[in-house]
Amino acid sequence: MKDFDEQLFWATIPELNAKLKAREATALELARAFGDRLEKLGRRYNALALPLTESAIRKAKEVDADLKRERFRGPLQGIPFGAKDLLSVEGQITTWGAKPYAAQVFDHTATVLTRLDKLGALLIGKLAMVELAGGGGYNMAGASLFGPGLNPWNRARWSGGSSSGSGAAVAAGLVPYALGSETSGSILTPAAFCGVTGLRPTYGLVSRYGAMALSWTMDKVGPLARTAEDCALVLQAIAGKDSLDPASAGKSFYYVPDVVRKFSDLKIGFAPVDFGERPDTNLRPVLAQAFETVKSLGIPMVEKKLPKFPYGAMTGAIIGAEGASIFEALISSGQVDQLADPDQIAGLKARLDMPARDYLKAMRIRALLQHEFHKLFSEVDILLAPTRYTVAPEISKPLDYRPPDAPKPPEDTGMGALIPAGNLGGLPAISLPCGFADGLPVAIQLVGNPFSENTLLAVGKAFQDRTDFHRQRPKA
Amino acid sequence: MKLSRRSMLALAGAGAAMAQTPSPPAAPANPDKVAAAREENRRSAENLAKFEIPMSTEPAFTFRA
Repeated sequence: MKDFDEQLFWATIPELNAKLKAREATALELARAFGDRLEKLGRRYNALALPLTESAIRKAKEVDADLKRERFRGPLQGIPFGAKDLLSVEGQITTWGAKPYAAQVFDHTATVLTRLDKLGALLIGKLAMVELAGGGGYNMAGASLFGPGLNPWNRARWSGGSSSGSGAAVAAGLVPYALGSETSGSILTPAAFCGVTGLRPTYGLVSRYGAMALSWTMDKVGPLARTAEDCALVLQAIAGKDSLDPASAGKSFYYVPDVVRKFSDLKIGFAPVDFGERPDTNLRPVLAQAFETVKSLGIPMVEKKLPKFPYGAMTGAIIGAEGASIFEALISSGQVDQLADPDQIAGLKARLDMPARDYLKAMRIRALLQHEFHKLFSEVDILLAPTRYTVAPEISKPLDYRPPDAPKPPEDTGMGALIPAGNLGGLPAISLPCGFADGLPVAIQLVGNPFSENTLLAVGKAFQDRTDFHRQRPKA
Repeated sequence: MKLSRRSMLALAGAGAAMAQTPSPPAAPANPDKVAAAREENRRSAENLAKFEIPMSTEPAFTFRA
């Protein structure tokens, strides 16, 4: 096998595509190089669920034949990737990260994977995840069939959830990009903790057919990659109408960064406390610098507050009721007791008894929330906030652990609820690495109006043109 | 479920992959935790109940982004 420079494993999609077109590498060589690396190092981070190198190699040979005949199928052709283990591949194990489903095999492939396959992308492995995408409410990093997701920047820290393996695999250079999913924070959180770029698409833009359902009204599938531009190229490939997904919005996505409005005509809303006393002390200088960098892009910035809603109670009731209904058989049969996290087990059991009035009340409030966000986005185009207000937590402690001497959070919560709020509203978001605190990645998020992905990606790209945090890589 | 030969091969391969991964500790059913989770649901329900909405507000059943 060709001995590639280590740098190859951190190349962006356009860089890898250029290598293929210039015949400096073949798809077969990339499949073997990334496949071997994923198999060798994936378990080091508990990131690998199932290697698929052999099938990727078969596919790569077809792709090389196509490339030789100049049958080009777009920028993802011949480029390896990984997929969260909640996406089904016909005839292969799909565990959903949970012991009761450890031998589950589907007879169909997720639409997003079929689309990527048609474009010549090479699926080299399924990636680990938090069991059942954390639907019961988990409180330990080890809430997974594959063990705790370990952060490539420091293996004593968590890689985030629930797309743990997707975040870690991209950060460790095991795959150029990965697919993850988000119900409430599962793309943005691992992207932030692992120092990669993550894109949560608008609800309904990307098909969920073949993906594990946790919440019919909140689940989204999206990419984690090196750059905003890489996320755009993946989104372009996976977005679009799908008659197999009842929630499909029937819209496509074309990456056209040049036709986005002039930055001076846009407006960003932010809460000052988010870049002041709200985050942990060690993150504040990094976030303050990131704020200045965003400001330097020439987009007018105005102070805004999130509309007041009981975000936590709403997501709890909606994900809780829908998730408990989806996993009713698992809970009722007692197989739920095989899950790794006692909090998940208890949460799922308790949620099976949730009264209909609580779910309906949350969904009625949600209708008002959508209306309020519609109004908010008539005043600003983007909301800016830290993706997370802490760095990745230690895997040895409960995820909600706060040191006894931790300062009391300020009363002004800023946009601290932007992750649940954005998910309840079905809004797109991008998480961008913006620096390091104690050697661990820190990130900001941009949230926009439904179907405003091109605007978020253009601003994200401009931010990354001025910074190099997305180019940093862990030493190990 | 009837498994094809391909599925059986996949199962065998995945078994090997998972054998190299440390198994999480078995989690015993914990009645206290279930009670705590029910209590959390009850508190959430109280928060939702406190939020006043017009009678005409319909649930976001037809969810549109």
